Amino acid sequence: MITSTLENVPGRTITQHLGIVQGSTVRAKNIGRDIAASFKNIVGGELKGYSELLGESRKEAFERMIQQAEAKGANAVLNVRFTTSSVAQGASEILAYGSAVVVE
Amino acid sequence: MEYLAELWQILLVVLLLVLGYGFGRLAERRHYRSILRREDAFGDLIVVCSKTLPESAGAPATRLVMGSVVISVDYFKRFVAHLRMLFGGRVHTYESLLDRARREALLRMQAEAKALGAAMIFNTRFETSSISKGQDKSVGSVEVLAYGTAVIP
Amino acid sequence: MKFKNVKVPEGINVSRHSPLAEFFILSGGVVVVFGGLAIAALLLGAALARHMPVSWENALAAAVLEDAARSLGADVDREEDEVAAALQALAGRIAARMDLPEGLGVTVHYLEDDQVNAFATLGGHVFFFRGLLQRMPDENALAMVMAHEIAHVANRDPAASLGGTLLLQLVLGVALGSSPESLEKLILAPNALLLTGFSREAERRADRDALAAVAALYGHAAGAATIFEVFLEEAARSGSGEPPAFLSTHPLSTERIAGIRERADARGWPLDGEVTRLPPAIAKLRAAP
Repeated sequence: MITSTLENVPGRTITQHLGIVQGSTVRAKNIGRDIAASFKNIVGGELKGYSELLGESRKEAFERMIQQAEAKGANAVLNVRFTTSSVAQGASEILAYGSAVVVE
Repeated sequence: MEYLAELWQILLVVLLLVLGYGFGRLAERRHYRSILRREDAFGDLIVVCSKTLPESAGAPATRLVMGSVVISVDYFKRFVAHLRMLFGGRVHTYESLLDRARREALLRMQAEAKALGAAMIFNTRFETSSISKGQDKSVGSVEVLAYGTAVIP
Repeated sequence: MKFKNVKVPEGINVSRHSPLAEFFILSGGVVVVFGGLAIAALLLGAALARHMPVSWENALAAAVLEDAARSLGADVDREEDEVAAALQALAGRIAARMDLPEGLGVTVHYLEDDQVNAFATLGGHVFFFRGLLQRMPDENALAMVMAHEIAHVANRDPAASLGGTLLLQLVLGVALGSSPESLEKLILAPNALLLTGFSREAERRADRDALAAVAALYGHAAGAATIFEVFLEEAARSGSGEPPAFLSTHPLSTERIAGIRERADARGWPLDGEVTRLPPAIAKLRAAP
């Protein structure tokens, strides 16, 4: 599965557009990470726990998007974009979306 | 008998949970049925994220179209989400909320485009944001905006 | 290029799950985890507080109770003085039979209120209400109540309950800081039951120590159950009866009476004997309207 933020795949032609595909997850941090983060807020620096958490979530959202593309019969997802938003105090949603296409 | 006051408050929470569960499931099922019906109806309206128009399109008229919706999750699901937030992990109960909101926003954008007589929408983008309620320190509603450029032949 | 709208199957972004099942599993986990946390906090806090130096406890009590005593007993007249002195004398005789920690003395206060109650707080300060004194038929019954309160002081129960609840609130406050009120309520409710459970255990222990002291002082355990019979009468009179045991900070009065009889039998302390008359200053209260 080719994924790209470009409009097209260089050197190949798009034969068919199959519509939008989206992948999203909502993940929450647990109290342990929360307390560690509060301490880090005093000292400053990277909140490793949160970075890991969001990294995992982004990966999962991306994989769900690819799953949708495969279900549609595409072999590439172009124009991929990410958005993050907090849906509750302690949980954030990551959405990955793009155009599913068939390239030759 | 101060414990009676506490007991009453706990019973109130349980009552709200039951109401939330029952009516919430009903509302969600109905919404999904409506979404599926309209997605079938809008099957011919193409929505893509790409910016490049096909050459065959020529020089058509274009208009910015958008659709947005604010959806709230029921008391039961919110409560379970808060339990989940103590332990961490995937918040299952909010997944359906966001899925519904996104699809609804997309459908509303398609409706606006169809009203203009368009057949395709390009460069679709999504924006999600949470609407704070202030009380109870919990946020249960989410706004999703879908916007793109409708191509009117 | 051709454009086609292909339907995506359901279930990719929304995983199949039952919110009800998740609710019960998570609730169970919460009860176990927070229950365990609560028990640990209560025990640790109580243990730490019990080992707090007596001088600290006395200083704390002095700071807190000065204001309270001032507002409660603003005008101390002669009659109250006599009652307080009589109570203090009795306390002295009983304390001699009990194992008080070094530096912790018992100070008895008398409160002019119709409540049928007595309690012990930090620093060995014990408070008796007029309502209770008026219901005591003889010195033995009063001595049992006094011994029970002094037992709390000797076991450092006021400090322990303070330490335990403080640590519990700290731990739960940190854990539940950003959770909504409804969740807090549902988690704190079972923990409140834990608190009452610990309290009942402390009461039983104080009952046992008090019975031993009274038996040592008088040679018999007559009148030891009187106060609980009074409580039962009061509960029947108010019409509502005593609250259920698991919700209450004290065991049921019937349980306490039975406990006294059992223990007295086991230790060979007679439950009948000649009772001593009340000190005159206290006996006077019974005559008053």
